[in-house]
Amino acid sequence: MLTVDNVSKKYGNVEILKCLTLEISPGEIMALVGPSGCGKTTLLRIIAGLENPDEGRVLIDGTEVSTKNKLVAPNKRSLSMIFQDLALWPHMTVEKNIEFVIKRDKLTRNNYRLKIDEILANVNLYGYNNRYPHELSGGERQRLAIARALASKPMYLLMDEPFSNLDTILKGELQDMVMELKDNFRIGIIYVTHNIEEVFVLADRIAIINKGIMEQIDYKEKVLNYPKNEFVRRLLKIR
Amino acid sequence: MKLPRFLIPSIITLFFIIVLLPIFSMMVVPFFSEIPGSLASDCSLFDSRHLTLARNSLGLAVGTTALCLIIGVPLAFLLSRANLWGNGILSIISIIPILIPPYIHAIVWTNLNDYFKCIFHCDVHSLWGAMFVLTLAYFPFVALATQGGLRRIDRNMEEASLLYHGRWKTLTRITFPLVMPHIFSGAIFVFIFSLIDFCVPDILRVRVYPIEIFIQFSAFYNERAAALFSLPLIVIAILLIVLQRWYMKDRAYIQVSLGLAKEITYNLGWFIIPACCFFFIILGLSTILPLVVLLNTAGSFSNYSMIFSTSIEQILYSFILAFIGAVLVMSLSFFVSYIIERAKTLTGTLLGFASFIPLAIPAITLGMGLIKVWNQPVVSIIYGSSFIVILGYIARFIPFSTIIGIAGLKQINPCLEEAAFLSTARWIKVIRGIVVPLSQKSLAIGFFFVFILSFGELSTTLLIIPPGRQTIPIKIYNLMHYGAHQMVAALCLILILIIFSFSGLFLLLYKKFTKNIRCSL
Repeated sequence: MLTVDNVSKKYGNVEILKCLTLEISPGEIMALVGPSGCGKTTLLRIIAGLENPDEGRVLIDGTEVSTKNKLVAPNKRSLSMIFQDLALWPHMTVEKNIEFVIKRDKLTRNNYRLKIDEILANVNLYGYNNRYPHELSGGERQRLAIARALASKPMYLLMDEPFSNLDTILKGELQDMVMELKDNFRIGIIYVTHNIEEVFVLADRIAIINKGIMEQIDYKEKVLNYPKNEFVRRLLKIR
Repeated sequence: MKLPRFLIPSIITLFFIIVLLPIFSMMVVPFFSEIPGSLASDCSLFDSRHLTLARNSLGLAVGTTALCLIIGVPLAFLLSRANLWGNGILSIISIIPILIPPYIHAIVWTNLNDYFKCIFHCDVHSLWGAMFVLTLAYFPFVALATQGGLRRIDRNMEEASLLYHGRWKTLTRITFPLVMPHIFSGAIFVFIFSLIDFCVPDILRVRVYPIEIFIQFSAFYNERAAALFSLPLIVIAILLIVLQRWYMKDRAYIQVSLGLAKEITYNLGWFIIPACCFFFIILGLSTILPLVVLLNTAGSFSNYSMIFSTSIEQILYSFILAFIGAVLVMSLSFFVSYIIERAKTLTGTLLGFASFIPLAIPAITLGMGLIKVWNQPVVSIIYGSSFIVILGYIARFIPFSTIIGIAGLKQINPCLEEAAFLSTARWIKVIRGIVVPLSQKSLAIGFFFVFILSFGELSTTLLIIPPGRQTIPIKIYNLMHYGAHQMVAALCLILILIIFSFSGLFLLLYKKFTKNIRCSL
């Protein structure tokens, strides 16, 4: 279980997050929805350990990983993140991008290569091993970002508007892929998006944030049927 | 946006006449000159001294570059990525050595020769001494290029790595390879500057190609031999520039951004103590020590007052020349960078390459070229006046302002110009109303750098200064050869004081100016 407990964050005098709380279990997809600048990305960064909260804490499986004064390194949290701009390393080939995050464990060289091929095959990138990110199409890059995020076998996956610049067909394909991954690997996914249709396709639960405050968090059916206030109703276009 | 038809040819013509013509005229001298004697006999000069000169010149360039990398790269990482207190101020302080002309470092270390011998067990008047002095003058180029690269790295790239690995692996496997083209660029610039530098080897009496060129031209009046000795340097430097431009591709060399994105910083822990020691030793050797030594050598206040009262004319002359030079360089380089950045055609690419050529030309050779082009009966008015010095500044320093100009233009979305062009058909109105205001920062930085470089310029001016005129660097050079050490030190300090005052004033205005741009954005 990943728990965000009463987390607050300020940048200068601007309060970005105000006493925000949420929980997510493995195998669950939670959509974080809200207008631009409401603090969604900041929340993901705090969960990932890229920033400290000013107040509150983050726990992973009951272990405190982030407080104001304590920060467990991001690489020790068994989570992955897909950035909005994907952040693929441009100086590394597809294979190297995967290889860099993979844990070698006690695999032999051959098994190690097989593992990379298997990961690439999972996202339909088999045979693209020696290409560089700039030689891939938009969809292929998204798939590589997903493959890289999953290669380290994380328990939780944070996705920051990963499909925001894709066409509808490609978006549909990648959404199916995310659903498969969730079912096959039982990963807990926190998914930031502006796209309401995407929310209803992918999410099990929806968290709606406005100006750093959690407006409503619940199963999507419940939110749809019982929007807590006018803001939620308008944001989700519920009539 | 479509550029007006007249713009490209007129700018290219101007660029060719002012910048390229003096260079090309020197490159063809060995083959088409009417000077008595044969090319073969001049080529024989190569046999005797060529190997020593090549060894010294390349040794000096390689050694200086290596030392600059050893100092500049860690310094840039320290200033950009470490949790040092007052990073911003320290970054500004680290640029100070660039403001001190290299020949002043050479003068200072000549005075410290005994200490140099004690510490390094060799004379400062040696290849090692020249390497050391040039390193103190040029390491900020590597540091600045590296810092520019570090600022350009998308923060997410490093953070994506931090999700899987620690900071060391992120630094070595992600940050370092991504900043490598910028480090390489800085190294290439230092290599070329050291290869073609005249003043430092001249003061430290190290025989390198630029010295030989100067001797051939001014002592033996052998223009062809001087041009021949320039050719190896020019070929090496141009090859390196081609390599560097290929490696850098479309990246900007420096960052002229608003700097709003916060960079990743690493907590150095106890390592912060040796890191700070490293920073202050470098700063001490490159900035504080020269000032202290000059103060000590200059002696009493009466020396300052005497040299100041006898140098007011030269100070004003240097200031006016540098100011006019910087304005003209910026005016030409603005259009040159605009064509390079916006006209994505072969012409733009060729102009982009041509704008780098002056970097590869020894200042002495450029001076000779300027004399050859402008010492003609039709244009004698230029040759006999201060205008030739200004032309020299333009030809020498246009690459720097173009680099800065391109970096600034890269940050202006062409859509902004296109949007303006839709509402007004006048190209000049778009340039005046959109491009120039948004390029103000890069124009200001470019102006500042060209002014500082012109104010301290010695090598080219030495050959082309009109009769009866002197700039401050020339006066320092002449006094040095008369053995007036106290006067030299006092005048060096006055020169540094003027440069520092101008830099301080620039910094103040720039801060205010940057705030206004941020507000307007």
